[in-house]
Amino acid sequence: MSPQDLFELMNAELDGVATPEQREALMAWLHSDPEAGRQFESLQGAVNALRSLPELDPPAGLSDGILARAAWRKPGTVGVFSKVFEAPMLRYAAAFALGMVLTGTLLDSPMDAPEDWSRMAGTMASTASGPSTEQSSFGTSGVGGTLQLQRSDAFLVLAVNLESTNSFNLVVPLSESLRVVGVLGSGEGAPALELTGGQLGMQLGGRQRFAVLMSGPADRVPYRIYRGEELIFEDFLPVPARE
Amino acid sequence: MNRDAEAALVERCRVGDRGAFETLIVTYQRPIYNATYRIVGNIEDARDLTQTVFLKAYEGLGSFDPKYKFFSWLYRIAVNESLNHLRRYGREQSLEVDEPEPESLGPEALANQVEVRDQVQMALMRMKVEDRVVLILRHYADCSYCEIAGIIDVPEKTVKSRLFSARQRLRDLLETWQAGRA
Repeated sequence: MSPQDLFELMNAELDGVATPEQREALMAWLHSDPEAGRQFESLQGAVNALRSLPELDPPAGLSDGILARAAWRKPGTVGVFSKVFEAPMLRYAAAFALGMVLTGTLLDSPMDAPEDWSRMAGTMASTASGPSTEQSSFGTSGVGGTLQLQRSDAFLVLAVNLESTNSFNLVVPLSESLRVVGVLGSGEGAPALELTGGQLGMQLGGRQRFAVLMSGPADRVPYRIYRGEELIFEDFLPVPARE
Repeated sequence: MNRDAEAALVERCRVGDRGAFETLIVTYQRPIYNATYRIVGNIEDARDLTQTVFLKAYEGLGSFDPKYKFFSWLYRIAVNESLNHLRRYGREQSLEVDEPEPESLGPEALANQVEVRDQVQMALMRMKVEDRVVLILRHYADCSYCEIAGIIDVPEKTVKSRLFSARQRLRDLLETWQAGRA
């Protein structure tokens, strides 16, 4: 029997897939070669030790945690989003399309009225939460800042004030009850946008302040923060009640 | 769970049936959690990774091919996520054992069992991660050669030779510990 044959037989026996003929051949070999026998026994001991490792109980609430995090996701959507992020032409096309939507909508929208613009600026500069504003502050994995959600007469305004040393992606899942109308930059760097796969994706980095205008009867605005494809934070802001 | 029942659950999941997704989580969270723990060696990380595995599976159901076992696909995601985690956070060298103590054992038996368990886990964590993964998939998760080959994307022949050298490495590490103990 060659060393290769012995290797095959030992492997088969240790893995519990040896046929009766293989087992018989192995035992005969090990009986005639004490050194091989010692080797096999020690390997069997290591395998048994590994198999004796206890099975741990998953932490309480693990499945509930997964279900809660899945609440704002759709089955089979992340692949499309990731691919678009990796494809510059699609990214630019999506950004251009969103820019067209933004321009067209704003030119016709009541937000052109000076009082609404000042209200927008007030929303973005404000750090206090009034009765019609919901605010979420966080800091995680090098990304930190605040998100504020305010209800205006015509829109929901999500004011974003985030800072990070690295690039990251802010994603707002959209639905029939939550549509994006446009994005307004504050002059500190407008985000690169993607409107695809039922989500608004914004590639961000450094310090950025801008506002996302949305509409619809949604009662909450979910958001997620990714670094690359890794989800590092997710939450939602409840839509404030009308004053 | 048999293959047909699993396929039916996956199909229901694809059309947004959250109850079906919950059943899949409850069915598979335990082996996935245990496999990720044995690979990364940290309870907290294993919990986070298990969550990530199921969320990625949920979002990636569109790319799942039903001719394969759903469970193997989950393991594939779990192994990839664990490897990414180790690359990202560099915890390959973490040698602290992070497990609750088993119950219903006398003090001496408990101490002995905990010591052996800890040494096996520490030996695993001292191994190359590629070797650790094949050992865990074969001897802890009971995957076949073919399934392991599919999960880590190498030929079956490579799985066999890697298993053989990984077992030798594990044996050497445990023998070194036993020699020191004596």
